[in-house]
Amino acid sequence: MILKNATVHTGCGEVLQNCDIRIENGKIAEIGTGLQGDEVMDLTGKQVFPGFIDAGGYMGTMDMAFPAKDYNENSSPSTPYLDIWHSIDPDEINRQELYKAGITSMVITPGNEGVIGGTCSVVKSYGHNLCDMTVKRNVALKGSVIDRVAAIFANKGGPMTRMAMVALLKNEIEKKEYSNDYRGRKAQEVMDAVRSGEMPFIISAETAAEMESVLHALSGYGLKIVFTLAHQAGKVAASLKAAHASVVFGEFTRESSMAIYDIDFKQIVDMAKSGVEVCLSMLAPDMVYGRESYWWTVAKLMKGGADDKMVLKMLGENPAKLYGVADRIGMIKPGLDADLVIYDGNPIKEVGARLLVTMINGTTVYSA
Amino acid sequence: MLLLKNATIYPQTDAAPFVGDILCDGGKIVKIGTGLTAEAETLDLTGLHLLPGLIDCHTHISLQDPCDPRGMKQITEMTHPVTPQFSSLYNANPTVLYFPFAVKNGVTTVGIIPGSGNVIGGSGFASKTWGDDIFAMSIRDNICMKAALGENPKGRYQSAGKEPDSRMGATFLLAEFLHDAYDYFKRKEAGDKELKLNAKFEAAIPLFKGEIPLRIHCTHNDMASAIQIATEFGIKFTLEHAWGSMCYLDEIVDSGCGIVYGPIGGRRSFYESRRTDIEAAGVLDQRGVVVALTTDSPILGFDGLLNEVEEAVREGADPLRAMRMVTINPAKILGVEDRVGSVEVGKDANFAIFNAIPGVDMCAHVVYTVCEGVIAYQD
Repeated sequence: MILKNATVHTGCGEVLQNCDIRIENGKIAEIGTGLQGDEVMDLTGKQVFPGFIDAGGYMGTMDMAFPAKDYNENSSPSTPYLDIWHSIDPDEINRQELYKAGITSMVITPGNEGVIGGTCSVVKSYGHNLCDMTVKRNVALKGSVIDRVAAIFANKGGPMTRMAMVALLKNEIEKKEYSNDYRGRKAQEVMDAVRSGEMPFIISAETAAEMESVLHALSGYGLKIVFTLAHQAGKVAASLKAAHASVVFGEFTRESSMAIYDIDFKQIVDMAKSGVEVCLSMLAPDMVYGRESYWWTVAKLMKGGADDKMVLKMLGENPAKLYGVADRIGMIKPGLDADLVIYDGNPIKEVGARLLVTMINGTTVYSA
Repeated sequence: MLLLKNATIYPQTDAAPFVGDILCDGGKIVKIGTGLTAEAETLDLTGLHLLPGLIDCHTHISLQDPCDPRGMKQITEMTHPVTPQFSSLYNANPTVLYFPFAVKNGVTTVGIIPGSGNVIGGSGFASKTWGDDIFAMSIRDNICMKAALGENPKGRYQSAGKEPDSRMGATFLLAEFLHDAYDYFKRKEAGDKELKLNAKFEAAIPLFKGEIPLRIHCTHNDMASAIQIATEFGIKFTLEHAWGSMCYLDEIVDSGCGIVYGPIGGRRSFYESRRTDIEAAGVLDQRGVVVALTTDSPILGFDGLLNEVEEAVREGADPLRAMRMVTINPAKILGVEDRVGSVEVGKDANFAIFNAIPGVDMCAHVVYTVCEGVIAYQD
């Protein structure tokens, strides 16, 4: 199939005018002008973006109602051997219709209640079954130092304080002896990857103090630290930059977080401009919210003075590189999956830009 | 006196947006025109976009205070499912951080109403968002009777092993109260000497006189019931939250009720959270229904009110119509449209002033908030 005459935002910093894209076998085969083919979609006046990435949440592990809590293994505060992939329910993901917000891939992580919760997967936001949807497993390790951990483990032997959580993190990073059984080998494999800096360690932290504590305790190990939720990241921008840490923001609109945490998006945009890599998600301390909240954070960034190219990176290239899937998703380049969203404007700048088509693997999954 | 010059004014009347000046004195708008001059503090708003102060008619702010460890924890008296006799005003606290946060987001009037834990929670009031005396901040008390169907009252009393234990149980309690209160009202009107004073039924008299609306927490699950029960008594009513309105468009239009839509942004799940159809805001507005948007603050922060305007536009509403859903329409639902909600001479000089057109440009945000003629916030 050929997409003809579009304005193409590649997500790698370029905007190509009157551009054609050839799609073959679900992949982007060629980008250029004057491409010929049997099936042609005329996109004159339309804008094409790489499908957007939700960079970390546990949607898809909650079932449809609230009782299923398959994202937290609350029997132990440290479970590096667990893999969230085994908790994913594709029905729940499909039902969220994330593709209606242009989101074509999502990073599924364990929840916010384990100091070390387990490993994360990247999946497409719509598909026939989990095997079809999976892009890559074990892309990161998830941890948490927010007060929900204490609420769960206070009566189960701890930790019930941040200092105990941070000590546990440090012990797990320094640990050298593992039991020679399946559990021990699995834990060591994951922790070795984290220690080498190859596997990012994504840690839920809301406040400046939580982030500073983790950075202080874990500095000098060569880890790739990523904070999620990270409401007050703007206040610790210098520490984040010094530690080469990245940020996957949770949503900001629920529970009056902007007021409670005294959040200033100008500060957040300055942080991003200073080189701290930012990605977006819909995660909250106790829930993952709906697809609208993703765009509300985009709007808040724009209100804070971000430019649209910078924001586009946060929605595609940044998470793709962070999680090691830039060879599959996040940009419009030959060889990558044909996950594309077509709008009648630029939704990052214009509220009224309408999503016309969402494609995953070259197949239209949504059409307005 | 404050003179605002050269703003693009979105009056929220029948008039189209225009560039002009506004003179404020004594907290009121005293003159609107072009080329106005006065011995007054003058603010040049060239290139900026001026709306009346924004209004969120459904909030619970100040009824509890997250920063006060000794403050009230509950916003509804959930010891009995039917408590129409209680007034939110006596639970309110002006010192909560949500008030200055409202001002920062251009919100200058809020409806503060009981929560949804009771089938009937009590009455609410309309408040300014600045001040240190809640009784002075209140611009109209007893603006509505708050009711709730569905999961909230059911969940609260089910867990306590009490009535209501089901959706039909909650609906029954609402119908029962209205029937009994209506009998009381009729007997009182007829001058029945035998009638014993009943505080709960007294609270319903303004409903039957058409002075205040019944504001019913209601989603698609209970919408048929809410419309049927309220129309039976010919009372004014609104559907609050109103997720799933697309399923009942004709019934809503025919009933003449108002719609207070939101909050949105939730995950799709069972029960009341199945349908998020904010396209209904635009569709119902087109069909003549008074539609307001709400954050249910503190459930969403007041920053979310502008995000909801954006979402309504994204889902099909005209931006100029979406502005009305956070200005004149919620003023009507609160019954304070004589004071706030539009830019007209004689109204309170409350304004939200933006750097770009809200609901059109993603970068639009509040750069000034004016509260009764005083610049209360500047970006």
